Amino acid sequence: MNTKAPAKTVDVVVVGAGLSGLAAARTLQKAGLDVHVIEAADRVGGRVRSANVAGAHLDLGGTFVGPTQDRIIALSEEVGVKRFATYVEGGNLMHWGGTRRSYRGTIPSIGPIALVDAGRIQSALDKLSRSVPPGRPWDAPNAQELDAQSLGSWMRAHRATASTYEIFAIASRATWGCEPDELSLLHALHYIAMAGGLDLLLDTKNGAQEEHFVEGTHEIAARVAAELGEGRVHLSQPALSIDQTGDVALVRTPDLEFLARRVVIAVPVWMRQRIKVTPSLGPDAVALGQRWPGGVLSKAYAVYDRPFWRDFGLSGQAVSDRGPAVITFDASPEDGSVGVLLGFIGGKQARMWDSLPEDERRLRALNGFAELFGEQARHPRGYLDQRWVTEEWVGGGPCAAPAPGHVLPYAKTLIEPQHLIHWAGTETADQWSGFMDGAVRAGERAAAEVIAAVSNASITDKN
Amino acid sequence: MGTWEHKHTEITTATPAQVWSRWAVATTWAIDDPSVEWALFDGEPCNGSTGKLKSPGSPAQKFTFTCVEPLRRFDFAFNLPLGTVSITHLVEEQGKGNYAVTHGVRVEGPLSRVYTALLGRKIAAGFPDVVNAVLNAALVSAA
Ligand SMILES: Cc1cc2nc3c(=O)[nH]c(=O)nc-3n(C[C@H](O)[C@H](O)[C@H](O)COP(=O)(O)OP(=O)(O)OC[C@H]3O[C@@H](n4cnc5c(N)ncnc54)[C@H](O)[C@@H]3O)c2cc1C
Repeated sequence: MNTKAPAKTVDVVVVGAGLSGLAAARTLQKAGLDVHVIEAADRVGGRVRSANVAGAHLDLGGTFVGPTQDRIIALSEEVGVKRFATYVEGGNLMHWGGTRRSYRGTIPSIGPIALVDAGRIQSALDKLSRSVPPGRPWDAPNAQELDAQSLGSWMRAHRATASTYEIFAIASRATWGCEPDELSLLHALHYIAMAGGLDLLLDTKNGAQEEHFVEGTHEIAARVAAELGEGRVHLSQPALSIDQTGDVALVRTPDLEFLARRVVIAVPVWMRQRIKVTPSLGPDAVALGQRWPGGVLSKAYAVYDRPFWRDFGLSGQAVSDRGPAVITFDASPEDGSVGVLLGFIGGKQARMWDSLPEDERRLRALNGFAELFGEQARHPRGYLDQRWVTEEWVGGGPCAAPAPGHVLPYAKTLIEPQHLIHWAGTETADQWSGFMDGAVRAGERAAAEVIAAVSNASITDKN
Repeated sequence: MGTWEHKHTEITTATPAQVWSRWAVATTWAIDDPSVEWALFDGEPCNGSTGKLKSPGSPAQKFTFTCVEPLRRFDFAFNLPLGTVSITHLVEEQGKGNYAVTHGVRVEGPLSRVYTALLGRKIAAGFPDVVNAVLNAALVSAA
C-alpha cells in the first residue's frame, strides 16, 4: 500500500539545502514563486556545518570569506550574521625539511633562491590563468592543451624546484583536496581566474581567508532556511528521481512527491548521478558525475584555554611539509576568550589520515600542532575533526577536482539547463567557484534562469 | 674508526602487536619501505638467524638478526667489508595508550664514514616516511 501523500503541486523544487540551494530558494521565493527545498541529510548547510567544542564555536566546512566575495557577504548581512578579521598578528611558522622557522606573508621563507622560484611559478600561473575566461574555460586559447596537462606536470615542465613544487602541492591539497598531479591544469587556471588571481585565492589579509563569521557559517544557512518559512525545507528527503513529462517534473523522495514547473539541482556535481532523471540526461551528464569527483579535505580543531601562541608573537598560521595538517590558522573567537587552532589535511595525506582510528588521528594532529607551536599544543581542552568524504550526501570537498582531460568535454554540461532542470551548486559558479560565495552566486543565477523561464511560460500561456 | 647513528621516533596508538605484524613479516617490508625491493627470512626470526634484502639497483644483501624480542625489539645487521650497518626497531609504552615507535640506523667499523655516506644517511632520510607507512598499515589493516 502506498502511504505517500498525494503529489504537491508547486512552482519550483530545489534539491539540496546547501548555501547554493538555499540562496536559489530565497531568490525564487522573493520573486513570488512557491518553492520547496528537499534535503537528503538531516540538517541544512551541506558543506557548511558547525560544532561547539569546549566552549568554542567551530566551522567544520566552509569558514573564511574575503574581498570580492560579495554575494556570500551580502547574504550573511541580510540574515544578520556578523564577521570578524582572521587573526594575523605576529609571525607565521613553517616546518620544512625537519626544521621550524618563522616568516611573514603568504609564501613561506624557504630561502632566497627558492623564494624567487616560487614567485616565478606563481606569476606564470597567474598570467596563464588570465587567458581563461571565467565561466567559459572552453574559450581559453589552447584549452585542449591546458586540459591535457596536470598542474603537477606543468610545474615539472616549467622546472619548478622541489621546494616550489611542495609549496604548490600544499596549496593544491588545501584548495582542491588533491595532489597537483591529480588536477587538470585547465581547471586549476579557471579556478584561479574565477577567484581573481592567486593572491586573492591564497592570502589571508586581502585574500579569501581575511575574515570569518562570529556566529559561524552554518548559521547563515540555518537563518536562510528559517526565513523560507515553516514546511518549506524538507530534511532527510533525498531526491530519488525526477520525471520530466511535458511542462511538469515529478520529483520523488522517500516520503514526498512534488509536481513542479521547474527543478533546481544544487547538489555537489559528483552526487548528481544518484538522482534518476527521465528522460535521461545523456552520456555526458553521467560521465560528468563520475569524472568530476570531490577532493579530499579534512579539518582538525584543537581548543585551548587561551590562544597561547600569541604570547610568543605567533599568528597561529603555519605551513608544514610533514603534516598531517599542512596549513594551520588561528580560529579563536574574536575576543580570544579561548584559543582555537585549525589544521587542514588534504589530498594524499587526508586519504590516509581519514582511514585511521579516531585516537590516532587526534594524536597525529596534536603532534603536528606541537611540532609547530610547542608542547602546550599537545594538551587541548577539546578536539574535533571532520572528514568530509565520510558525509553520505556530500562525500568530499571542498570542491570538485577533475583530472586532466576531464574539463573540456563536460564543462558545458555542468551548467546547461536540461528541459525543466536548472543547475546550481558552487561548482557551477563563474566567480569564486568552489567557495561559499560561488555557491550563493550559482544559486542566484539558477533562480534567475527559472524566473525568466517561468515568466516566459506564463506569457506564452496567457497568449 | 668511528660510529654514526640516527633514530626517528613517532608516537602512536598502534599497539605493539599491530606494529610487530609489519616488522616481523618479510613480505610487508617492500610495501612499507620504497628502498626495499624484496626481503626474506631464513625461517622464523630469532637472534642469530639470517635473511636477505634486495634494494632497487643493488645486489641482494645477507643480514643477521641481532636482537629479536617479540612485540618490543627487532634488530638486524649487515656485515660489510670493514664495516657494519645495524638497523634497530623498538616499540616502547608511553602511557595513556600511546607507544613510541623508533627506527634507527648505526654504522660502525673502519669504513664507517664511507658506509654512512653511501647507506646510513639515505636510510635515515627515509625513516619519517617509512615509520609512518608502517604505522598507517599497522592501524589500517587492523581496523
Ligand atoms: C573542509 C572545507 C573547508 C572549506 N573552506 C571554505 C572557506 O573557508 N571558504 C569558502 O568560501 N568555502 C569553503 N569551503 C567550500 C564551501 O563550503 C562550499 O563551496 C559550499 O558550502 C558549497 O555549497 P553548495 O550549496 O554548492 O553545496 P553543498 O554545501 O554541498 O550542498 C549540497 C546539498 O545537497 C544535498 N544533497 C546531495 N544529494 C542530494 C539529493 N539526492 N537530494 C537532496 N539533497 C541532496 C547535500 O546533503 C547538501 O546539503 C570549504 C569546504 C570544505 C569541505
